[in-house]
Amino acid sequence: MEWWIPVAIILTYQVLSSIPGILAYKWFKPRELYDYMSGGKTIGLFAMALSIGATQWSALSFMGFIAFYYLHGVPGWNAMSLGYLLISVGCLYGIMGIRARELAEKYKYVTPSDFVNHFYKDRYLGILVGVMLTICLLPYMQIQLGGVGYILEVASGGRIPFIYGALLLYILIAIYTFLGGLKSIAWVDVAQGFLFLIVALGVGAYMWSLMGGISGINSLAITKPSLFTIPGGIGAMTALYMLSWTIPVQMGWPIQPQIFMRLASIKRKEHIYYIPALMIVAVTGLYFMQQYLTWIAGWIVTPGFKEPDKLLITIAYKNWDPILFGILGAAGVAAMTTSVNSQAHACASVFVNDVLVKIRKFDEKIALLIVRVAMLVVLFIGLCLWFVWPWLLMTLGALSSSIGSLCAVALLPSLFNIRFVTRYGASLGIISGFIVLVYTEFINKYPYGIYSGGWGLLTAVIVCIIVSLLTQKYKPAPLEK
Amino acid sequence: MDERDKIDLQFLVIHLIVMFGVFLPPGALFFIQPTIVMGLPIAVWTSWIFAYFYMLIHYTIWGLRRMRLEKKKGG
Repeated sequence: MEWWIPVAIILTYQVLSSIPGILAYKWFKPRELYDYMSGGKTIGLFAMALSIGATQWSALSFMGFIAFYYLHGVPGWNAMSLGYLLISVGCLYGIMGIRARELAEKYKYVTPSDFVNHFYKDRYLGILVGVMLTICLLPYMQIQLGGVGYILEVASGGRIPFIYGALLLYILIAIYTFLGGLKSIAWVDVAQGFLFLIVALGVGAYMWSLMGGISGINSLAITKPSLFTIPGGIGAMTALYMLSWTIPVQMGWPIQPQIFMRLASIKRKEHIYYIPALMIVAVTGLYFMQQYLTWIAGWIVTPGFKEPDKLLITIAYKNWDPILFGILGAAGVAAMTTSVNSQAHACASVFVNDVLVKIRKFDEKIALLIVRVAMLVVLFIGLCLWFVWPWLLMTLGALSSSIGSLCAVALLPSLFNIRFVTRYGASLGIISGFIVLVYTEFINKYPYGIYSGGWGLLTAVIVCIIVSLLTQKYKPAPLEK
Repeated sequence: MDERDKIDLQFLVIHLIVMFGVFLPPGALFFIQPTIVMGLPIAVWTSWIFAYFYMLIHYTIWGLRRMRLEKKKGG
């Protein structure tokens, strides 16, 4: 394959699709921290839906999820795709989103900590939630930049070292995100999200023909039956593990600030009613189907593939002509950049709005400058982390989301006005959940076959309930309707 | 609990019952696992497709009820 053709397509597309982000700045200049974080609530349904979708279509959807299904088979697919459909979209996008948007309209709130602060009247709990969400986003950014490195490395046949590709993307993302904040990001997401949708359809159709249609699935079920039933291909996905994995991971995604801030910042409240249906049609309908067909086709054409994260791009590299491979690579890099821009923006926003500003008051212009510089710094940290911690993409993604889910014990009561939960219950729940999560992930891995995120969330909920019971005299005042 | 909370709570209760009773463990084990063991991997597809349309319909009903409530309040 002529290596420069796909590389040229990927880079040209990246540069061209970044232009809307710079144009957005021309028409909408953030004047304060709130504008930078929320896009001034000027982003409508269409742009916001595509932006949410594009933020979700990340390195995971292009590489990590496929590797996850390739290893675990159908139980992994059920834990991820059914879990996303039923828990992330089913439980949280609509009913959490509408409440976040209603309160956001009334009080100019954007980040999860804003809501937590308001409800519990405790700035330290808000700072704790801000710190947790910052921690959970760092590995997530690392995934995206690592994914970009993978794609450029394969596309160039190893001629472009990871660092050059990742640095180039870093500069492009930094320019428009620095300037326009959420508004610029949303415009770039629209430009890049479209390509990903079209490519997802194309990849799905190609994989369907490669595996020989439904008969391919049936023949794989006969030759490799472990992929189609619990505990999955590598024997890890028991029913208990599946549940303990899918609940915290799927709860964490909508709570992570890059998604939550979009739900709270959509232009009109009524738009939230359409978001879940759009997410079901586009995200679960298109991208999960494409991934399902890819891992099945992967097992049929390359059984026992050693680097499952690279399965899709390797199949395409071997079988497609350079132009088509370049378009696929451009869509893959687009999926990653549309996630990393949002994550860097959200991470910096949370850090400045929820941590720094709560510790010390700044002039609005200074705060705006700080959040922009913080965005550059967290993006750079994400890049550096890849060199010291290059894990399987999905392992990092699930861990990141599980950390985010711990904040549910503080955030959900604040959105649903559950006054039983006290600030002490929520704080100790988050802290103990995090300690248990770290212990069961790094020291005593998955005791009793339960995923670390499951242990963390279970601990957080139990501690939150017990401590809240003991500290009822500190329960929050009722929220105005 | 106002009308808005009631609509959301009804949505959530039905959803949790369907989710854990049919599509995810423990309920899913009774429906999906035996079918796959019998050599019918198609069940994986049907469960996903059922979940997909169930979610679309359920969320549409929720959205319509919430919008009707808003109109009633507004009117």
